[in-house]
Amino acid sequence: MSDEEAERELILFFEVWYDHKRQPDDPALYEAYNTQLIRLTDLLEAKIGKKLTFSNIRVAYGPRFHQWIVENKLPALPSEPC
Amino acid sequence: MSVTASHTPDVTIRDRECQLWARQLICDVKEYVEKEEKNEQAFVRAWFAWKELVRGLNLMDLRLYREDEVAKEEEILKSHGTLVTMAIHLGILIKNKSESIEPRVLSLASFTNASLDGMMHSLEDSHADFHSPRDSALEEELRSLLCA
Repeated sequence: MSDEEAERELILFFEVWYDHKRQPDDPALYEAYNTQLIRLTDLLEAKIGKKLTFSNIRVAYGPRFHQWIVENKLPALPSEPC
Repeated sequence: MSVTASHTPDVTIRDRECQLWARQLICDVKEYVEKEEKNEQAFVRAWFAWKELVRGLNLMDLRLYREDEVAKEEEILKSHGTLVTMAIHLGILIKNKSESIEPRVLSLASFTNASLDGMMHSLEDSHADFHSPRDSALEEELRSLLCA
């Protein structure tokens, strides 16, 4: 898989991660998030040649996830409690 | 995505106020869920308050993911860890309590085990990401792999 395709998979992951974070009680969104995380993990393990945890991926790309939220002008949550 | 990109970007939070808010919610959930008698109204209140709590903690997560060097935010991180741990504990209590609640009431409250499990996974992810040992070298390697 090319870097461009891997990049697209990462952005797809951001989309489902964001949806799950916003609506963690929605089982379908959790399923989509989990499926894409498994897919991305498999892809990155193949590229890097190392075993990865889901947490490795979320923490590594967390700052980019945040940046992606800002660039797409997405609200942090539907109704901010604070 | 389930939302449109039509909102003003705002991913900042007032951490102290958020922590106080979360702690108050934790007190509410504890009060509701620890009632001895079978109290359906208390259960529903606990469920809704807990859902708000989890959503609030997810907001804190977004704040923490923003930081490249999370260790700088020790005070926030410590408080976040306490809140996440308590929220997981309360989630287990709510799940146990739900077994004694009438299905009709659970349905009216939009409570399902799948919903609760999704929220528990969210909390567990949060705990793993911010309160477990990190492999900074591996994280850096991953970042350099997709650095656009």
